[in-house]
Amino acid sequence: MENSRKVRYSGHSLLRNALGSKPWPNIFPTPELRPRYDIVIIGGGGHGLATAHYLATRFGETNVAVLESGWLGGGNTARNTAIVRSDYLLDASFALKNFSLELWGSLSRELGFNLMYSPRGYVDLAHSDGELEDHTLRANAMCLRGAEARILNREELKQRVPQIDLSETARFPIVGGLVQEKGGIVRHDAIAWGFAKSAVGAGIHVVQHCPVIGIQTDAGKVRSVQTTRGTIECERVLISVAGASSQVAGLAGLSMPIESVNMQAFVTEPVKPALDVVVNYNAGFCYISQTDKGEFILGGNSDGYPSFAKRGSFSTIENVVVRAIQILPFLSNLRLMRHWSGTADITMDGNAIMGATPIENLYVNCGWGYTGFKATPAVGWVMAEQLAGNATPDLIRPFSLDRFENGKLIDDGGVGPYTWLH
Amino acid sequence: MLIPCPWCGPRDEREFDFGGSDAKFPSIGTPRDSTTDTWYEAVHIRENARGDTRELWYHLSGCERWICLTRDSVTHEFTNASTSDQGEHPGESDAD
Repeated sequence: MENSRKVRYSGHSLLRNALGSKPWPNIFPTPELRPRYDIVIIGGGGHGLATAHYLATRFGETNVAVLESGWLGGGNTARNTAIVRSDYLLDASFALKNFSLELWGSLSRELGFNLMYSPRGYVDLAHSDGELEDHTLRANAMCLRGAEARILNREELKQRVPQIDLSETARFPIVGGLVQEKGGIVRHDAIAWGFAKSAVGAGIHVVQHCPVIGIQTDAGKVRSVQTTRGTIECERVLISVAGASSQVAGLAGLSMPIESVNMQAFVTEPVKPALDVVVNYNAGFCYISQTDKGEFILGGNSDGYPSFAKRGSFSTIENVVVRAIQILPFLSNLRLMRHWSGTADITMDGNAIMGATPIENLYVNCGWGYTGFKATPAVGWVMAEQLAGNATPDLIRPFSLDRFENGKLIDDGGVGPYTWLH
Repeated sequence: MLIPCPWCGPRDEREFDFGGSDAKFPSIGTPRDSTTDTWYEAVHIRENARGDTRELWYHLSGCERWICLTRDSVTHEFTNASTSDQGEHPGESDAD
Protein backbone atom coordinates (compact mmCIF):
# COMPACT_ATOMS: atom_id res chain seq x y z
CA MET A 1 0.00 0.00 0.00
CA GLU A 2 1.35 3.45 -0.83
CA ASN A 3 3.07 5.44 1.86
CA SER A 4 2.82 2.70 4.42
CA ARG A 5 6.09 1.82 6.02
CA LYS A 6 6.77 -0.38 8.98
CA VAL A 7 9.48 1.06 11.16
CA ARG A 8 10.78 -0.95 14.09
CA TYR A 9 12.76 0.64 16.87
CA SER A 10 15.35 -1.59 18.51
CA GLY A 11 18.91 -1.59 19.79
CA HIS A 12 19.95 -2.65 16.32
CA SER A 13 18.10 0.21 14.61
CA LEU A 14 19.59 2.67 17.09
CA LEU A 15 23.11 1.48 16.29
CA ARG A 16 22.50 1.41 12.55
CA ASN A 17 21.09 4.93 12.48
CA ALA A 18 23.79 6.27 14.81
CA LEU A 19 26.53 4.97 12.51
CA GLY A 20 24.80 5.55 9.20
CA SER A 21 24.72 8.87 7.40
CA LYS A 22 21.03 8.71 6.47
CA PRO A 23 18.51 10.46 8.68
CA TRP A 24 15.93 8.40 10.56
CA PRO A 25 13.05 7.46 8.27
CA ASN A 26 9.99 9.70 8.49
CA ILE A 27 7.34 7.51 10.11
CA PHE A 28 4.51 9.90 9.23
CA PRO A 29 4.91 10.62 5.50
CA THR A 30 2.17 12.81 4.05
CA PRO A 31 -0.04 10.50 1.98
CA GLU A 32 -1.97 11.38 -1.16
CA LEU A 33 -5.63 11.43 -0.17
CA ARG A 34 -7.75 8.79 -1.84
CA PRO A 35 -11.10 9.87 -3.24
CA ARG A 36 -12.85 7.36 -1.01
CA TYR A 37 -12.32 5.72 2.38
CA ASP A 38 -14.45 3.27 4.33
CA ILE A 39 -13.92 5.22 7.53
CA VAL A 40 -12.84 8.81 8.12
CA ILE A 41 -11.73 9.83 11.60
CA ILE A 42 -11.76 13.59 12.12
CA GLY A 43 -9.18 14.47 14.74
CA GLY A 44 -5.71 12.97 15.06
CA GLY A 45 -5.44 13.18 18.82
CA GLY A 46 -4.85 10.23 21.12
CA HIS A 47 -8.48 9.07 20.88
CA GLY A 48 -8.70 9.26 17.08
CA LEU A 49 -5.32 7.59 16.57
CA ALA A 50 -6.07 4.86 19.12
CA THR A 51 -9.31 4.20 17.24
CA ALA A 52 -7.33 3.90 13.99
CA HIS A 53 -4.82 1.55 15.62
CA TYR A 54 -7.51 -0.80 16.94
CA LEU A 55 -9.48 -0.63 13.67
CA ALA A 56 -6.39 -2.05 11.96
CA THR A 57 -5.28 -4.53 14.61
CA ARG A 58 -8.63 -5.83 15.84
CA PHE A 59 -10.81 -5.57 12.75
CA GLY A 60 -8.39 -5.43 9.80
CA GLU A 61 -9.92 -2.13 8.65
CA THR A 62 -7.16 -0.23 6.88
CA ASN A 63 -9.05 1.83 4.31
CA VAL A 64 -9.18 4.54 6.94
CA ALA A 65 -8.11 8.19 6.99
CA VAL A 66 -7.31 10.16 10.13
CA LEU A 67 -7.56 13.89 9.43
CA GLU A 68 -5.73 16.21 11.81
CA SER A 69 -6.04 19.98 11.46
CA GLY A 70 -2.78 20.65 13.29
CA TRP A 71 0.08 18.28 13.99
CA LEU A 72 0.29 15.00 15.88
CA GLY A 73 0.67 15.58 19.58
CA GLY A 74 -0.17 19.27 19.23
CA GLY A 75 -3.57 19.17 20.87
CA ASN A 76 -4.96 18.10 24.21
CA THR A 77 -3.21 14.70 24.01
CA ALA A 78 0.06 16.40 24.90
CA ARG A 79 -1.35 19.33 26.89
CA ASN A 80 -2.62 17.44 29.94
CA THR A 81 -0.81 16.48 33.13
CA ALA A 82 -0.37 12.85 31.94
CA ILE A 83 -2.16 11.28 34.92
CA VAL A 84 -3.90 7.91 34.57
CA ARG A 85 -6.19 6.41 37.24
CA SER A 86 -9.61 4.79 37.60
CA ASP A 87 -10.95 5.94 40.97
CA TYR A 88 -14.52 6.52 39.82
CA LEU A 89 -17.69 5.74 41.72
CA LEU A 90 -20.31 5.30 39.00
CA ASP A 91 -20.25 2.02 37.07
CA ALA A 92 -20.07 3.44 33.55
CA SER A 93 -17.17 5.79 34.29
CA PHE A 94 -15.28 3.21 36.29
CA ALA A 95 -15.64 0.39 33.77
CA LEU A 96 -14.22 2.38 30.88
CA LYS A 97 -11.38 4.02 32.78
CA ASN A 98 -10.35 0.83 34.56
CA PHE A 99 -10.28 -1.04 31.25
CA SER A 100 -8.02 1.73 30.00
CA LEU A 101 -5.72 1.36 32.98
CA GLU A 102 -5.42 -2.37 32.22
CA LEU A 103 -4.42 -1.64 28.61
CA TRP A 104 -1.53 0.73 29.41
CA GLY A 105 0.66 -2.07 30.78
CA SER A 106 1.05 -3.92 27.48
CA LEU A 107 0.74 -1.01 25.05
CA SER A 108 4.41 -0.04 24.75
CA ARG A 109 5.24 -3.53 23.51
CA GLU A 110 2.18 -3.69 21.27
CA LEU A 111 2.99 -0.36 19.60
CA GLY A 112 6.77 -0.74 19.52
CA PHE A 113 6.96 2.70 21.09
CA ASN A 114 7.86 3.42 24.70
CA LEU A 115 4.89 5.09 26.40
CA MET A 116 6.77 5.16 29.72
CA TYR A 117 3.73 4.04 31.73
CA SER A 118 4.78 4.56 35.31
CA PRO A 119 2.31 3.04 37.81
CA ARG A 120 3.75 5.00 40.69
CA GLY A 121 0.54 5.38 42.68
CA TYR A 122 -2.16 8.01 42.77
CA VAL A 123 -3.08 9.59 46.10
CA ASP A 124 -6.34 11.51 46.46
CA LEU A 125 -6.35 13.55 49.68
CA ALA A 126 -9.34 14.14 51.94
CA HIS A 127 -9.73 17.18 54.18
CA SER A 128 -12.67 16.26 56.38
CA ASP A 129 -14.26 13.16 57.84
CA GLY A 130 -17.09 13.52 55.35
CA GLU A 131 -14.71 13.66 52.44
CA LEU A 132 -12.81 10.62 53.73
CA GLU A 133 -16.14 8.76 53.98
CA ASP A 134 -16.77 9.64 50.37
CA HIS A 135 -13.29 8.41 49.40
CA THR A 136 -13.95 5.18 51.34
CA LEU A 137 -17.20 4.63 49.48
CA ARG A 138 -15.31 5.08 46.21
CA ALA A 139 -12.46 2.77 47.27
CA ASN A 140 -14.89 0.06 48.36
CA ALA A 141 -16.82 0.35 45.12
CA MET A 142 -13.55 -0.02 43.19
CA CYS A 143 -12.56 -3.12 45.17
CA LEU A 144 -15.98 -4.69 44.61
CA ARG A 145 -15.52 -4.29 40.88
CA GLY A 146 -12.09 -5.91 40.85
CA ALA A 147 -9.77 -2.91 41.07
CA GLU A 148 -7.38 -2.14 43.88
CA ALA A 149 -7.67 0.88 46.18
CA ARG A 150 -6.86 1.56 49.81
CA ILE A 151 -7.73 4.22 52.34
CA LEU A 152 -4.78 5.68 54.22
CA ASN A 153 -5.08 7.40 57.58
CA ARG A 154 -2.75 10.24 58.52
CA GLU A 155 -0.04 7.92 59.86
CA GLU A 156 -0.09 5.77 56.74
CA LEU A 157 -0.10 8.84 54.55
CA LYS A 158 3.01 10.06 56.30
CA GLN A 159 4.73 6.81 55.35
CA ARG A 160 3.44 6.78 51.76
CA VAL A 161 3.93 10.48 50.91
CA PRO A 162 6.32 11.99 53.47
CA GLN A 163 6.68 15.16 51.39
CA ILE A 164 3.19 16.54 51.97
CA ASP A 165 2.36 18.99 54.73
CA LEU A 166 0.33 17.00 57.28
CA SER A 167 0.47 19.55 60.09
CA GLU A 168 -2.72 20.27 62.03
CA THR A 169 -2.20 23.98 61.46
CA ALA A 170 -2.24 23.69 57.66
CA ARG A 171 -4.79 25.87 55.90
CA PHE A 172 -6.82 22.79 54.95
CA PRO A 173 -5.63 19.98 57.24
CA ILE A 174 -5.44 16.55 55.63
CA VAL A 175 -7.27 13.70 57.39
CA GLY A 176 -6.45 10.85 55.04
CA GLY A 177 -6.50 9.76 51.47
CA LEU A 178 -7.32 7.18 48.85
CA VAL A 179 -4.43 5.48 47.09
CA GLN A 180 -4.61 3.54 43.84
CA GLU A 181 -1.20 1.98 43.29
CA LYS A 182 -1.86 1.22 39.59
CA GLY A 183 -2.48 4.90 38.92
CA GLY A 184 0.42 6.97 37.69
CA ILE A 185 1.61 8.82 34.64
CA VAL A 186 2.17 8.01 30.96
CA ARG A 187 4.29 9.97 28.50
CA HIS A 188 1.48 11.77 26.71
CA ASP A 189 3.01 12.82 23.38
CA ALA A 190 4.35 9.29 22.88
CA ILE A 191 0.75 8.09 22.87
CA ALA A 192 -0.06 10.16 19.79
CA TRP A 193 3.13 9.07 18.05
CA GLY A 194 2.90 5.43 19.09
CA PHE A 195 -0.69 4.93 17.94
CA ALA A 196 -0.01 6.90 14.74
CA LYS A 197 3.09 4.81 13.98
CA SER A 198 1.10 1.62 14.37
CA ALA A 199 -1.80 2.90 12.25
CA VAL A 200 0.48 4.20 9.48
CA GLY A 201 2.40 0.91 9.56
CA ALA A 202 -0.86 -0.93 8.91
CA GLY A 203 -1.59 1.25 5.87
CA ILE A 204 -3.96 3.79 7.42
CA HIS A 205 -3.59 7.34 6.14
CA VAL A 206 -2.76 9.83 8.89
CA VAL A 207 -2.94 13.30 7.36
CA GLN A 208 -1.63 16.28 9.31
CA HIS A 209 -2.51 19.92 8.60
CA CYS A 210 -5.77 18.86 6.98
CA PRO A 211 -8.71 20.68 8.59
CA VAL A 212 -12.23 19.53 7.81
CA ILE A 213 -14.36 22.36 6.48
CA GLY A 214 -17.57 20.55 5.63
CA ILE A 215 -19.55 17.37 6.22
CA GLN A 216 -22.07 16.47 3.53
CA THR A 217 -25.11 14.38 4.29
CA ASP A 218 -27.69 12.85 2.02
CA ALA A 219 -31.11 11.76 3.26
CA GLY A 220 -29.96 11.79 6.87
CA LYS A 221 -26.87 9.76 6.07
CA VAL A 222 -23.29 10.96 5.98
CA ARG A 223 -21.84 10.94 2.47
CA SER A 224 -18.56 12.84 2.30
CA VAL A 225 -16.15 15.02 4.19
CA GLN A 226 -14.76 18.21 2.72
CA THR A 227 -11.21 19.14 3.66
CA THR A 228 -8.74 21.81 2.63
CA ARG A 229 -7.12 19.07 0.50
CA GLY A 230 -10.26 18.02 -1.29
CA THR A 231 -13.47 16.13 -0.72
CA ILE A 232 -13.48 12.52 0.47
CA GLU A 233 -16.35 10.11 -0.01
CA CYS A 234 -16.81 7.85 2.94
CA GLU A 235 -18.95 5.19 4.51
CA ARG A 236 -18.62 6.14 8.17
CA VAL A 237 -17.27 9.19 9.98
CA LEU A 238 -16.08 9.67 13.54
CA ILE A 239 -15.76 13.15 15.01
CA SER A 240 -13.12 13.05 17.73
CA VAL A 241 -11.93 16.63 18.04
CA ALA A 242 -12.19 17.59 21.73
CA GLY A 243 -12.37 21.39 22.08
CA ALA A 244 -13.65 21.94 18.54
CA SER A 245 -16.50 19.40 18.85
CA SER A 246 -19.30 21.98 18.69
CA GLN A 247 -17.80 23.51 15.56
CA VAL A 248 -17.13 20.24 13.68
CA ALA A 249 -20.47 18.68 14.68
CA GLY A 250 -22.01 21.97 13.57
CA LEU A 251 -20.70 21.29 10.05
CA ALA A 252 -23.14 18.40 9.93
CA GLY A 253 -25.92 20.51 11.41
CA LEU A 254 -25.74 19.04 14.92
CA SER A 255 -26.06 21.11 18.09
CA MET A 256 -24.12 19.65 20.99
CA PRO A 257 -24.61 19.83 24.77
CA ILE A 258 -21.05 21.05 25.11
CA GLU A 259 -19.11 24.02 26.38
CA SER A 260 -15.41 24.50 25.63
CA VAL A 261 -13.30 25.73 28.51
CA ASN A 262 -9.66 26.56 28.99
CA MET A 263 -7.49 24.16 31.01
CA GLN A 264 -4.03 25.14 32.16
CA ALA A 265 -0.97 23.18 33.23
CA PHE A 266 2.43 24.25 34.48
CA VAL A 267 5.92 22.87 35.04
CA THR A 268 8.54 24.07 37.46
CA GLU A 269 12.27 24.03 36.83
CA PRO A 270 13.67 20.47 36.98
CA VAL A 271 15.15 19.20 40.24
CA LYS A 272 16.34 15.86 41.58
CA PRO A 273 13.67 13.22 42.28
CA ALA A 274 11.63 14.41 45.26
CA LEU A 275 8.11 13.04 44.75
CA ASP A 276 7.37 9.50 43.57
CA VAL A 277 3.56 9.54 43.53
CA VAL A 278 0.80 11.56 41.92
CA VAL A 279 -0.96 13.69 44.53
CA ASN A 280 -4.39 15.21 44.18
CA TYR A 281 -5.28 17.99 46.62
CA ASN A 282 -9.01 18.43 46.91
CA ALA A 283 -9.10 21.68 48.86
CA GLY A 284 -9.28 23.96 45.87
CA PHE A 285 -8.13 21.30 43.45
CA CYS A 286 -4.52 20.86 42.41
CA TYR A 287 -2.78 17.73 41.12
CA ILE A 288 0.96 17.33 41.24
CA SER A 289 3.53 14.83 40.04
CA GLN A 290 7.20 14.93 39.10
CA THR A 291 8.22 14.11 35.55
CA ASP A 292 11.14 11.90 34.63
CA LYS A 293 13.02 15.07 33.69
CA GLY A 294 12.55 16.32 37.25
CA GLU A 295 10.02 19.05 36.61
CA PHE A 296 7.00 19.26 38.89
CA ILE A 297 3.90 19.29 36.77
CA LEU A 298 0.88 21.08 38.22
CA GLY A 299 -2.71 21.22 37.12
CA GLY A 300 -5.92 22.64 38.55
CA ASN A 301 -9.42 23.63 37.65
CA SER A 302 -10.57 25.10 34.38
CA ASP A 303 -10.66 28.87 34.08
CA GLY A 304 -14.39 28.64 34.72
CA TYR A 305 -15.91 30.17 31.61
CA PRO A 306 -16.09 29.19 27.93
CA SER A 307 -12.89 29.92 26.06
CA PHE A 308 -11.06 28.94 22.89
CA ALA A 309 -8.10 31.20 23.71
CA LYS A 310 -5.60 28.42 24.55
CA ARG A 311 -4.03 30.83 26.99
CA GLY A 312 -4.81 31.02 30.66
CA SER A 313 -5.91 33.62 33.13
CA PHE A 314 -3.56 34.75 35.88
CA SER A 315 -6.11 34.10 38.60
CA THR A 316 -6.05 30.36 37.79
CA ILE A 317 -2.26 30.28 37.68
CA GLU A 318 -2.14 31.99 41.08
CA ASN A 319 -4.79 29.71 42.50
CA VAL A 320 -3.10 26.49 41.40
CA VAL A 321 0.30 27.63 42.65
CA VAL A 322 -1.13 28.62 46.05
CA ARG A 323 -2.72 25.16 46.41
CA ALA A 324 0.46 23.42 45.30
CA ILE A 325 2.47 25.23 47.98
CA GLN A 326 -0.12 24.43 50.64
CA ILE A 327 0.41 20.73 50.01
CA LEU A 328 4.15 20.67 49.17
CA PRO A 329 5.67 23.73 50.86
CA PHE A 330 9.12 23.15 49.34
CA LEU A 331 7.68 23.98 45.91
CA SER A 332 7.83 27.67 46.87
CA ASN A 333 11.60 27.49 46.23
CA LEU A 334 11.08 26.54 42.59
CA ARG A 335 10.33 28.77 39.64
CA LEU A 336 7.58 28.03 37.15
CA MET A 337 9.29 27.40 33.84
CA ARG A 338 6.41 27.07 31.42
CA HIS A 339 2.68 27.11 31.37
CA TRP A 340 0.27 26.19 28.60
CA SER A 341 -3.42 25.63 27.95
CA GLY A 342 -5.73 23.40 26.04
CA THR A 343 -9.37 23.71 25.02
CA ALA A 344 -11.45 21.08 26.82
CA ASP A 345 -15.02 20.29 25.80
CA ILE A 346 -17.27 19.66 28.77
CA THR A 347 -20.79 18.30 28.58
CA MET A 348 -23.70 19.26 30.78
CA ASP A 349 -23.18 16.28 33.13
CA GLY A 350 -19.40 16.35 32.93
CA ASN A 351 -19.14 12.97 31.22
CA ALA A 352 -18.20 12.07 27.67
CA ILE A 353 -20.46 11.47 24.69
CA MET A 354 -19.68 8.41 22.56
CA GLY A 355 -21.55 6.66 19.81
CA ALA A 356 -24.20 7.35 17.23
CA THR A 357 -25.78 10.68 16.30
CA PRO A 358 -29.11 11.49 14.63
CA ILE A 359 -27.19 11.35 11.33
CA GLU A 360 -26.70 7.81 10.13
CA ASN A 361 -23.08 6.58 10.04
CA LEU A 362 -21.86 9.73 11.79
CA TYR A 363 -20.40 8.99 15.21
CA VAL A 364 -19.01 11.25 17.90
CA ASN A 365 -16.49 10.88 20.66
CA CYS A 366 -16.41 14.13 22.58
CA GLY A 367 -17.20 15.90 25.81
CA TRP A 368 -14.27 14.42 27.67
CA GLY A 369 -13.52 17.69 29.40
CA TYR A 370 -10.35 17.16 31.34
CA THR A 371 -10.77 13.44 31.94
CA GLY A 372 -10.09 12.17 28.42
CA PHE A 373 -6.40 11.39 28.52
CA LYS A 374 -6.61 8.46 30.95
CA ALA A 375 -9.31 6.83 28.84
CA THR A 376 -7.40 6.99 25.54
CA PRO A 377 -6.73 3.29 24.78
CA ALA A 378 -10.15 2.14 26.01
CA VAL A 379 -11.89 4.77 23.88
CA GLY A 380 -9.92 3.65 20.85
CA TRP A 381 -10.83 0.03 21.59
CA VAL A 382 -14.58 0.61 21.85
CA MET A 383 -14.89 3.25 19.13
CA ALA A 384 -13.08 0.91 16.73
CA GLU A 385 -15.65 -1.76 17.55
CA GLN A 386 -18.46 0.73 16.91
CA LEU A 387 -16.97 1.96 13.62
CA ALA A 388 -16.18 -1.54 12.35
CA GLY A 389 -19.92 -1.96 12.00
CA ASN A 390 -20.56 -4.01 15.11
CA ALA A 391 -23.24 -3.34 17.67
CA THR A 392 -22.65 -0.52 20.11
CA PRO A 393 -20.27 -1.92 22.75
CA ASP A 394 -21.67 -2.18 26.28
CA LEU A 395 -18.91 0.05 27.61
CA ILE A 396 -20.11 3.07 25.65
CA ARG A 397 -23.88 2.53 25.69
CA PRO A 398 -24.36 4.68 28.83
CA PHE A 399 -22.47 7.55 27.16
CA SER A 400 -24.92 8.03 24.29
CA LEU A 401 -25.72 11.50 23.00
CA ASP A 402 -29.45 11.04 23.59
CA ARG A 403 -28.99 10.60 27.35
CA PHE A 404 -29.45 14.35 27.78
CA GLU A 405 -32.86 14.14 26.16
CA ASN A 406 -33.82 11.01 28.08
CA GLY A 407 -32.56 12.29 31.41
CA LYS A 408 -30.16 9.38 31.94
CA LEU A 409 -27.29 11.62 32.94
CA ILE A 410 -24.05 10.18 34.33
CA ASP A 411 -23.21 12.66 37.02
CA ASP A 412 -19.96 11.71 38.74
CA GLY A 413 -19.77 15.17 40.24
CA GLY A 414 -16.73 17.34 40.26
CA VAL A 415 -16.75 18.33 36.62
CA GLY A 416 -19.14 19.96 34.24
CA PRO A 417 -20.38 23.43 33.46
CA TYR A 418 -23.32 22.94 35.85
CA THR A 419 -26.56 23.44 34.06
CA TRP A 420 -28.12 24.64 37.31
CA LEU A 421 -26.33 27.92 36.67
CA HIS A 422 -29.43 28.68 34.68
CA MET B 1 -8.99 39.40 32.08
CA LEU B 2 -10.35 42.81 33.04
CA ILE B 3 -14.14 42.79 33.04
CA PRO B 4 -15.83 46.09 32.25
CA CYS B 5 -18.54 46.29 34.92
CA PRO B 6 -21.02 48.94 33.82
CA TRP B 7 -21.39 50.00 37.48
CA CYS B 8 -17.78 49.81 38.72
CA GLY B 9 -15.60 50.15 35.62
CA PRO B 10 -12.92 47.65 34.58
CA ARG B 11 -12.26 45.16 37.40
CA ASP B 12 -10.19 41.97 37.71
CA GLU B 13 -11.99 38.73 36.77
CA ARG B 14 -11.31 37.37 40.29
CA GLU B 15 -14.13 39.61 41.56
CA PHE B 16 -16.70 37.95 39.30
CA ASP B 17 -18.66 34.73 39.05
CA PHE B 18 -19.52 33.38 35.64
CA GLY B 19 -23.28 32.97 35.26
CA GLY B 20 -23.68 31.16 31.97
CA SER B 21 -24.77 32.33 28.58
CA ASP B 22 -27.49 34.92 28.30
CA ALA B 23 -29.81 32.51 26.52
CA LYS B 24 -33.51 33.23 26.60
CA PHE B 25 -35.17 30.66 28.78
CA PRO B 26 -38.68 29.26 28.34
CA SER B 27 -40.94 30.44 31.15
CA ILE B 28 -41.99 28.02 33.87
CA GLY B 29 -44.96 25.99 32.72
CA THR B 30 -43.93 25.81 29.08
CA PRO B 31 -45.23 22.42 27.94
CA ARG B 32 -42.93 19.93 26.28
CA ASP B 33 -43.18 20.54 22.60
CA SER B 34 -43.69 17.38 20.59
CA THR B 35 -41.39 18.37 17.74
CA THR B 36 -38.58 20.31 19.36
CA ASP B 37 -38.07 19.84 23.03
CA THR B 38 -37.58 23.44 24.12
CA TRP B 39 -36.59 22.47 27.64
CA TYR B 40 -33.94 20.03 26.43
CA GLU B 41 -32.49 22.68 24.17
CA ALA B 42 -32.56 25.37 26.83
CA VAL B 43 -31.00 23.28 29.58
CA HIS B 44 -28.45 21.22 27.66
CA ILE B 45 -27.68 22.58 24.23
CA ARG B 46 -25.04 25.30 23.98
CA GLU B 47 -24.14 27.48 21.06
CA ASN B 48 -20.51 27.35 22.33
CA ALA B 49 -19.54 29.96 19.77
CA ARG B 50 -15.97 30.51 18.71
CA GLY B 51 -16.15 34.29 18.74
CA ASP B 52 -18.68 36.68 20.27
CA THR B 53 -20.80 35.27 23.09
CA ARG B 54 -23.48 37.00 25.17
CA GLU B 55 -23.07 36.01 28.79
CA LEU B 56 -24.04 36.88 32.35
CA TRP B 57 -21.52 37.63 35.06
CA TYR B 58 -22.12 38.35 38.74
CA HIS B 59 -19.92 40.99 40.35
CA LEU B 60 -19.57 39.08 43.61
CA SER B 61 -16.77 41.08 45.22
CA GLY B 62 -17.99 44.40 43.91
CA CYS B 63 -21.41 45.86 43.29
CA GLU B 64 -23.06 42.42 43.70
CA ARG B 65 -25.11 42.89 40.55
CA TRP B 66 -25.69 40.73 37.51
CA ILE B 67 -24.28 42.22 34.35
CA CYS B 68 -24.55 41.22 30.73
CA LEU B 69 -21.43 41.14 28.55
CA THR B 70 -20.43 40.40 24.98
CA ARG B 71 -17.10 38.60 25.03
CA ASP B 72 -15.01 37.10 22.27
CA SER B 73 -14.29 33.53 23.38
CA VAL B 74 -11.04 33.45 21.37
CA THR B 75 -9.46 36.80 22.25
CA HIS B 76 -11.32 37.44 25.56
CA GLU B 77 -12.09 40.94 24.33
CA PHE B 78 -15.25 42.64 25.60
CA THR B 79 -17.21 44.63 23.07
CA ASN B 80 -20.36 45.35 25.00
CA ALA B 81 -21.34 45.59 28.64
CA SER B 82 -24.75 46.36 29.98
CA THR B 83 -26.70 46.02 33.16
CA SER B 84 -28.66 42.80 33.00
CA ASP B 85 -32.14 43.64 31.73
CA GLN B 86 -33.70 41.39 34.34
CA GLY B 87 -31.83 43.19 37.12
CA GLU B 88 -31.19 39.85 38.76
CA HIS B 89 -30.21 36.40 37.58
CA PRO B 90 -33.14 34.82 35.75
CA GLY B 91 -32.61 31.61 37.71
CA GLU B 92 -33.15 33.46 40.97
CA SER B 93 -36.28 35.20 39.81
CA ASP B 94 -37.78 31.81 39.03
CA ALA B 95 -36.67 30.25 42.29
CA ASP B 96 -39.98 30.73 44.09
